[in-house]
Formats: sequence, C-alpha cells, structure tokens
Amino acid sequence: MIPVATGPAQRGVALVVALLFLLVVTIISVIAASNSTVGLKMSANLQDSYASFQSAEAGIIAVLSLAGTASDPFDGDDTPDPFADFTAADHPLRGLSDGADSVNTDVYLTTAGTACPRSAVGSSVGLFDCDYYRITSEHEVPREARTKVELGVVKTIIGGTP
Amino acid sequence: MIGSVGYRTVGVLAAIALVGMSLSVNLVADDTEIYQIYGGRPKVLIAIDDSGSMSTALDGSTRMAIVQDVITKLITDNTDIDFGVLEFNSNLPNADYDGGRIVSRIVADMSEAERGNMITLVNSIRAGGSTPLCESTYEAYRYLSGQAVVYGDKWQRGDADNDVLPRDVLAEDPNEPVPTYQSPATGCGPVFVVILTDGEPQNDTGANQAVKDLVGKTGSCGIYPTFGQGDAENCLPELVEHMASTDLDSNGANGVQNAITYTIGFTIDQQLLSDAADRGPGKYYTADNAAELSVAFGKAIKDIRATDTGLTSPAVAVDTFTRTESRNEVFFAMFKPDNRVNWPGNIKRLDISLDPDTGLAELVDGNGNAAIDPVTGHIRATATTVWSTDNNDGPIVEKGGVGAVLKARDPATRRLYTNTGPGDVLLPFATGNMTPSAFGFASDAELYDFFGVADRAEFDTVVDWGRGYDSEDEDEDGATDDTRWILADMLHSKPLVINYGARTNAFSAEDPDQRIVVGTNGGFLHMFNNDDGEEDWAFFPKELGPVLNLRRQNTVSGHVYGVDATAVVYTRDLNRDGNLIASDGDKVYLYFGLRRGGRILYAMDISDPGSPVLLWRIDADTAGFAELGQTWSVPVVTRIPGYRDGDGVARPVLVFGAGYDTNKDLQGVATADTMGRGIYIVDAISGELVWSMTPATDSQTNMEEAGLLHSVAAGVTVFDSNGDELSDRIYFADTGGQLWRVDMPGADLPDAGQDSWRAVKMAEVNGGTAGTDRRFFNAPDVVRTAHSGVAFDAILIGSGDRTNPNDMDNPADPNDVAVDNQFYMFRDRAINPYFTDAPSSDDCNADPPSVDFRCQLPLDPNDLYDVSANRIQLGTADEQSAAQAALLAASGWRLDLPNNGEKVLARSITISGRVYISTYTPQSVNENTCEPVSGLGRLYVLNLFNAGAEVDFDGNGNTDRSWIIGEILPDTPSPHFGEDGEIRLLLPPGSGGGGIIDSPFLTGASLPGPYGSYWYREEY
Repeated sequence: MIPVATGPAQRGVALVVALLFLLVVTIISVIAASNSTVGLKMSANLQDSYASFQSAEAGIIAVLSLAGTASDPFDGDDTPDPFADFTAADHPLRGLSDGADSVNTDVYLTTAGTACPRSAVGSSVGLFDCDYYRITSEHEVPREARTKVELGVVKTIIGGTP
Repeated sequence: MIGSVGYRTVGVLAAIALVGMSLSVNLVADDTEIYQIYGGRPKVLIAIDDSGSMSTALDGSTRMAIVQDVITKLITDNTDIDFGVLEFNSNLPNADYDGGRIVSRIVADMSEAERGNMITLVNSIRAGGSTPLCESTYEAYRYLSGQAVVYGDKWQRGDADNDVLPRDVLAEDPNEPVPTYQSPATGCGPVFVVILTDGEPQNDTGANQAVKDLVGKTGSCGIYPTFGQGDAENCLPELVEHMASTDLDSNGANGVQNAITYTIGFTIDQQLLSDAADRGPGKYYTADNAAELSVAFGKAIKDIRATDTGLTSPAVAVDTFTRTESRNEVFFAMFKPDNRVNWPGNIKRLDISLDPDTGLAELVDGNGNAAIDPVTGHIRATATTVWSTDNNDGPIVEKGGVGAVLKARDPATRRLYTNTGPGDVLLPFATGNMTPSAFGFASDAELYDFFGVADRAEFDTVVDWGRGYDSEDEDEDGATDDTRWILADMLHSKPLVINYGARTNAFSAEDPDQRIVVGTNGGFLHMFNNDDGEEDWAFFPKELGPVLNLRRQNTVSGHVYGVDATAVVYTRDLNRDGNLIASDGDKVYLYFGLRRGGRILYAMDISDPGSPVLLWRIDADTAGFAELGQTWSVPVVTRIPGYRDGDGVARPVLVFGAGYDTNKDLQGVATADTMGRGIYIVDAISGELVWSMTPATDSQTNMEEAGLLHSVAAGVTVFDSNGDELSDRIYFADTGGQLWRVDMPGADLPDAGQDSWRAVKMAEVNGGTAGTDRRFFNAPDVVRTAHSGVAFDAILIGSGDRTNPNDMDNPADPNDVAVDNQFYMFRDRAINPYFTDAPSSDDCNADPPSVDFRCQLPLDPNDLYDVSANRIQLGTADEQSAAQAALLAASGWRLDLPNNGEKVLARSITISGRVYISTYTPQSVNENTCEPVSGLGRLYVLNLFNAGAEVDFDGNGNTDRSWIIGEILPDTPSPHFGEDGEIRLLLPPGSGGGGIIDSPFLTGASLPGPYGSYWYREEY
C-alpha cells in the first residue's frame, strides 16, 4: 500500500481560490464601476436631449405666441428671425438655461391665401382664406445635444370674396 | 328768375311732353316695382281764384289766361295724378253767392278725354267777383269729407261775366234727399288741395263760425288784412289744419284720409297763405309771372310726389350696404325713388366704433354720435355723416355724403373720361372727343340720333348736363350754369372700397388710401376718395350715350339703367407690403358689367388711382361672346389649371355667368332663353376668351352643354378643392332653377375635343308650374364641411325671382298663385374633382350600382329632407330621431319659405356652421287701412346641417329661425371682422327689427388665430 501524499500538494488551492475570488470581485467591481459611468453618461445625455427638445419646443411656442403682436411673424411672408425685434432683456426665450441664442427659429410661408381646411363648423367658401406657414425651431449645444422640430401653422385671413 | 321765357314751361314739365310716350313702352319688370306707390294715385283739388282782379293784364296777357295755361299744362302732363277743380263763386256783396263750388269733381283714374274736358272747363272760367279763400276751402272740405253742400249751389246762375260754369252735380250723391257730396277721398291715395289766389280775402267771413265749431275753437281765429275791408278774422289756417289731421270721412274702417293744403300767391305775398300752408301742412309759393307760376305749381306737384313716396315705403331712400374690408369706415349707398327716371343717389360714410370695455360696436356719425336709430335701423335724422357740411343730413339722400360734395363742386374741375379714343382709349368727356367716327357713325345725324338729341345745340347741352351743369335748372334756383345734383341712383351697384394702403407718404397703415368705386344709373362709374369724399374721376362708357338725355329729360315712366352692376377688383401686391403702389409693379384691375344697362363688360387698370386706363371691353359682338346677355353676373377673379404665362405662373382669369335674358321678364312660367346660357372664363388682363360653356358646339374655347336652357344672371362660386392654389370647381345657378357644377381637373386646358373638363347638372328645382316656377338669381353659397364623419360640400341657395319681387298669391283668385320659393342645402358628396365621365345609366343601374355620385343627379326638391316643420328641434324624442335619420339619408334639406310670396333675393352667407339668409316678402295692398304698404325683409339664421333655429332674437328663451328686420329688400349682410376678433354682420339700413336687431349684428363667431396643423421632430 502506498500512502497517498496529501499535505504539501494541496497547499496552493486557497491562493488560487482567493485569486479567483479576487478576480471575480475585481471584474464585478470594474463592471459595476464602468456601468455606473455609462449610466451616468446616458442619463446626462438624456437630460441634455430632453432639455434641448424642450428648448426647441419653447422656440415654437414662443413664435406662435407672437401672432397678433407688433412682431407678428405670420405676415404673409417668410420671417427668418422672428425675434429680431427683441433685446436680450425682453427676449421671449431669455429664460432658457443656455441662453436665447441657443434656439434658432424660422418661419416660412408655405402657401398664401388659399382655401382653408375643411371644418365641421364650416363657413362660406371665400369668406375666409388661409395662409399656411411652417415654424422650424432648432436647439443646439455643440457636441452635446441638438433638436429640430417643425410645426405647420394655419392662419385664417379675411377671404377675397366674402 | 327766368322772367323772359314767357309761356315756355321749364324743366321737368317740358320734359314730360317730349319723350314721355316713347319711354313708357320700355317698361320692364324689375325690383324697382317695390318702390311704386300702392296707396293709389294722388288726388289734387285745385282751388282757382276767379276774382275780378284776375283779369288784370300781365305780360301781354291776363293773370287768368296765364293761370289757365299753366293749369292746362299741369293736367296734361301729370297723367299719374287725378285732378279736380274748385272755382270761387262770385261773392257779390249783399248777395247770396258766397264760397265756391266744385266745377269739376276729382275723377278717379282720369282718362285722356276726361283730362281734355277738364281743360275745356278750366279755360272757360271768367274772372269776376270776390276772393272767399276760407269759405271756398270750407266747401272743398265739405266735398272731400262727403258732407252736405253748403256753398256749392250758391253760384250766380246765368251770369255770363262771373260764374259761367255750373257746379258739377256728379260730385254729389244722387241718392241723398238734399245735395250732399260724395267724398272722392275713400281710397288710399293722398289728397291735396292747392289754393291759388291773386289777392287778399274779400267777403270771406261766412265760414268762420262753422270752422270754429268744427275744430272746437272758442276764441277768435287769426286777424288778417282783407281786400278793401280792413282787417278781418280768417279761419283758413284752422280749417286746413283740421283737414290734415282728421279722418275726412270719419269712417275708421277704411283707414284715415287726410288732405294736405298748398298755397300759391300769384302776384301777391300774404301772411294768410303762408300760415295756411304751414298748418296745411304743405308749402307756400309765390309767383309773379307765368314762368314763376309754372315753377310754383311744378314745385307743389313735385313736393306732392315726394310726400307720396314717403307715404308708401318708409325704406325708400336707402338701399344697399357695402363690405368694408374690415376697416371701420362704412359706406352706405342710398337713393331716392321717384316716379320720374332721374332718381338721385348718394354714398354716405359712418364709422364703426368699438368700446373696448363693453365690447359693444356701434355705427357713429362724423361727430362720434350714435348714428343708427335702434328701433328702425335707419340713419338718425339728427346724424351728421362724415364729409357732410350739412348738419343733420342723416337719412336724406340729397344732403351730405359724396353727392353733396360733388354738388358743391364746379363741374369744370371734374375729371371725366369716356372711351372714344382709338381702341377705346380714355379721352376727356367733351363734345370735341365725341365725334361720329369715335362711335362708329358716319354722320353727325347718326350721332345725335344715338344720343336722342335733335341737333348740335342740344347735343352740347346734353354733354354739359352730363358734366354736371344744371342746364335744366333742376334745383330751381334760376341759374343754369351752376351744378346740379350729379350723383344718380345706384340701384344694384354696391360701392366697392379699394384699400391702397400707405400708397404715398400722405397715408399710413392706420390711415390708408381708400377709394370708393361705384357705378350709377346716370351712366357714370365714379371713384371717390375717403379723405374728403371728393370725386377723383368718373368714366362714362360711350356705349351708354342714350342714357344722358333720358336722364336729363327726366320723364315719368320707366327706369333708365346705366352702370347698374357692382364692380369687382383684382389686386396684386407684388412685394406683399400691404401697399398698392404702381411704381412697385403692384396692379389694381377693376371689372364691371352694366346689369340692365347693357350686354357689356369693362376692365380698367386703376393701379394708379389718379389715371385710369381702360384695359378691355367685351360685348356680345366680340368674337366668342355671342351668348353674352345683360351683364348681371358679377365676375370672380381666380386662377385655373392649365392657364399660365411664359414663366409657368398661373394667370388671373375672370369667371362669370353669361348674363341675363330679358325673356325672363315675361309673366308666366319660365321659358327657355336665347342668350346668357352658360359661363365664360376670360383672361383678366387681356380680356381674351379662355374657355366657355354654352349650348354652342365644341371648339377650342367652348364646351357644348345642351342642357343649358336658361340665362345665368347670378354670379358663380369657384374654389380650389385640392389645395393646389388653382380653382378646379365652379358652381352656378340659372334663372330656370337649375344648379350646375363644373370640374376643371388636371393641369391643362381642354383641347378642341372638350373631353377633359366636365359639367353636371346638380339639381333642378323648377317644376314648370305657376306654383313651382322657381328661379335662381344668386350665386350658390358653398361650404366645405363634414358631419357625422362624412366630408361633403354643402351647396346653399334659395329661389326667388329678382325681377318680380311683388309676386304673391291672390286671395281672391285661387288660380293666381305665386311661386312657392324654397331654400336648399344640397350635400355634394363628390368632394374631389371628377376625373372621369359620368357613368352611363346602365352603370348606375347595374348590380352593384356605380357609387359615382352623379348617378343620383340631378337632385330635385324631393331628394331633400323637408325641414319646414323643424321636427329635429321641436318634435318629440321619437320624431327627432326619425327626423335625424331621414335627414342623414337624404341629400340635404329644403325649407319652404313660410310667407306668402316670400323670396330669397340675395346670396346666403355661412359663418361657423350658421347660415344667414335674407328674404323679401311683398305685402298685399290693404285698401282698407291706407297704411304704408311695403315689403318685409327677414333675416334667417339656421344651423348648416339641420336648419334648426340658432338665435333667440327677442330674448324670450326660445330660439327663432327668422326675424323681420324691417320694411326693406335686404341684401346679403356684409361681414365685418372687428379689431376684437368678433365677426359682426352689417345689415342694410332699415334693419332695426323694431329694436331687436342690433346693427352691427354680433354673430358670436370670431376669426380664429393661427393654429398648428401638423408637427414633427427631425431625427439626427
């Protein structure tokens, strides 16, 4: 019978196990660390994007709200800079965190003086005409976020043959 | 005065004799009918002073002879008046010959022979005796009121010098035991007494006590000088006041008959006559010679007529209303009907004032005061309109407005044009430019014939008159080199307001350059400026040459038509700055027809409002326009597929109905016409024919439509159904009650095969019987809408014969029925252009049948749900749901106009789902009340989908479908878009509805602000 040598041959297992554990823990922690950075980046990006979208939308709303004012951009023509009349102090978009200049809005006349959309509360053909515009609003923080939205606008005017 | 003229009667009187007869045959049926007098013919009793002083020599004759001549002329000329004659009895002192007697009773509807007899009688009157003014008038009162004879039989029989004529016993009732008059004042015609005398009263106290008893006076009447008898009491003023204020026959059942007294002092001016006329309440005139006497009588008769029109129709002096382009200046066109042809017209301005606190809008005058009487809806008598230098011009046509500004102007300074230059170039309106060759005539004689004048002198006079000189002394101020009332009636021509914006530095966006263009039946198209109401220029189309002399002669019968249609404008603001400036390349083109004035359409370039240019003229002789009838149809300017300039840009075109055929004036059921059947499309700048649809055979520019049998007097309605900025659909209606739809699909004009554009008869509502002889005179009102999830185009139109507005059922004759007019809402389900031909009847009847909507056309009234009973609103729950289902299943709805003879004579207008319809209902003449008889205008406000009532006019908690707005023939209301966003309707004057209808009328709808239609986010 030959005795089985056990003692010294098994001495490194604990180290290996420990190393393995360490490796696993390291990997886990590295992954965890890396995951949280990405998440952070992702959420930051999402936040930027969301803020950008809100800013762009604010541009649309701000342009629409100029209707009927002295700076009415729906004046039968294109208006490349609807806020030209405003100073930084009274700019409708002055509350934006990255400044009013971060939003670029344009108003384009699509068609002028044509028939209005069909309506459930209709009026005589010719009583009203409609001008069709589109407002584009673009918000950009360089290399961080960019949004461009567009709103079609129908403006009712007095028709040619009421 | 015109003292040297001798016996020549002047002005209007002379005019009647000249052409009265030639014109009377030209009477046409027209809506001028509503201004005719219904109350009966005026009756005039002339009381002639035959006192001895009347034999006094005057101007180589005697006073009596002059009076006889003038009265002869009066009786001869004024064939629309029934006369009677009273002569003073001899009234010798100490003899029983007091008062006066009726020598010729008032004969109703006097024949020519009866006039001749009366003239013979008048000319056999001899001067001799006293001057019993009050006594004679008392006898006139006894006669007019049908009482016993008092003085009538006290004439000096058998006296060859004084009372030659016997009393007219036919004035008395033969059945009465004692001589008793039969009152001639039983009808509704107004009665007038004209007292003519050459002296102060003499032997005239006999009737004073009777008059005092009559009027219940206890003290003395006025004391007046007499002839040779010192001062004496005279009750003439009290008597005539009583005659004017008390029912003459005391019979309340037949209405109230009054007599109005006028006085004429011939070679004398006395207080008694003046006082009597004051309380008459007529007028007092003095005259010193034949001409003045003629004028005095003429004035009295003229005034009597003016009273007439006032008696019959309170709405007479006002007519149409204008759109304002939603500036706050509002321009009223008005005119004054008369039984002569030269009706005066005017345009007055009021302003809309909006109270920002209350949101109430009202019309204010030049002083900022409320200008509309809330009850009657007329301009207040106390209003002073803008431009007026006359205080309180208010509703009076011949005061204030642009007319008075023009009247105050030296005619020499007017800028008048006529198209007598080569190629219709405009030249100054002067005889030098009006040569025979300019009119295409070979000789002066032909030219004079065309103008209806005899010779050069009369031609010059007529042209001077046209320029505005008062050559006929119409204002009776004795001068013929001053200015007459130039502005003639604008019967159907609504003023057109053109806003040139800040055209020069003198104008601004707040105070833009506005011009008013209007045509009149005097033959001119005028342009006025809004600043001071001055005329900029006027254009006289040479084709209207005969109009001038007809208006100048001012005859009794008929109506003369000139530029009687509304003008339309096409503007192109090249740089879209809101200003129309010729040097910017902006264009302003004006188009107008003549309506009953002729078969011509004119186009003018008024890009520079100071220098008008005639662009082109189309008449029935122009190649391709043989079908053109009277140009009633107001053109529409638009762009159509396939008609472009060299750059591919669509050119503006004019679309209009081919006009009216006077065949439709004939009484009886409508028959097919020979002109005006179809529509025309012409180039708006060149006048070139682009396309037409008539019964003529197919050609490059004409599509044959054999079903067009009736003239198209109404305007057309065009629109763009697919949003490509080109009109691809036309609806129009004809005078035979047919409604048409034309489709212009594709991108090209049709070729000579005419197989790419299509027409379909949408509806036919004329049943061909007296009761169903429905005709259309208005453009269809088209509403692109959707209901219950189904998109459709609503076509709204009402029937009514514009040329016969007084047609109504005759209660006495069941066979004499009026047309039962209706208002329709047709649902056109084919909302897209027709690209294919209509399916054949086989296809329509196949199994399954074709779904093409044209299989169901033409619609007739029975295809529509009858909403007359308004079950949808007023029925029980079951009835309501059944009615809703029936309405949905039908092709629209129809409304029987409920009143006898009611007609739709104006286009409806739909605002935010509510249809506004104005109608006219004639009123039957009620012989028993003698009240003014005038038609009634109504305003309907209906729900677009179910014709339900929408407005509670009287505030009683229940909505009303309609409301009587006044005694007017109402036009389409003009929408006004207020600065507060509210849409108000400007109704014609006279639309007070008894205080119920506000003017302007708030619709409750507003112009929507800009709204989003689509949204998207661009992906990066």
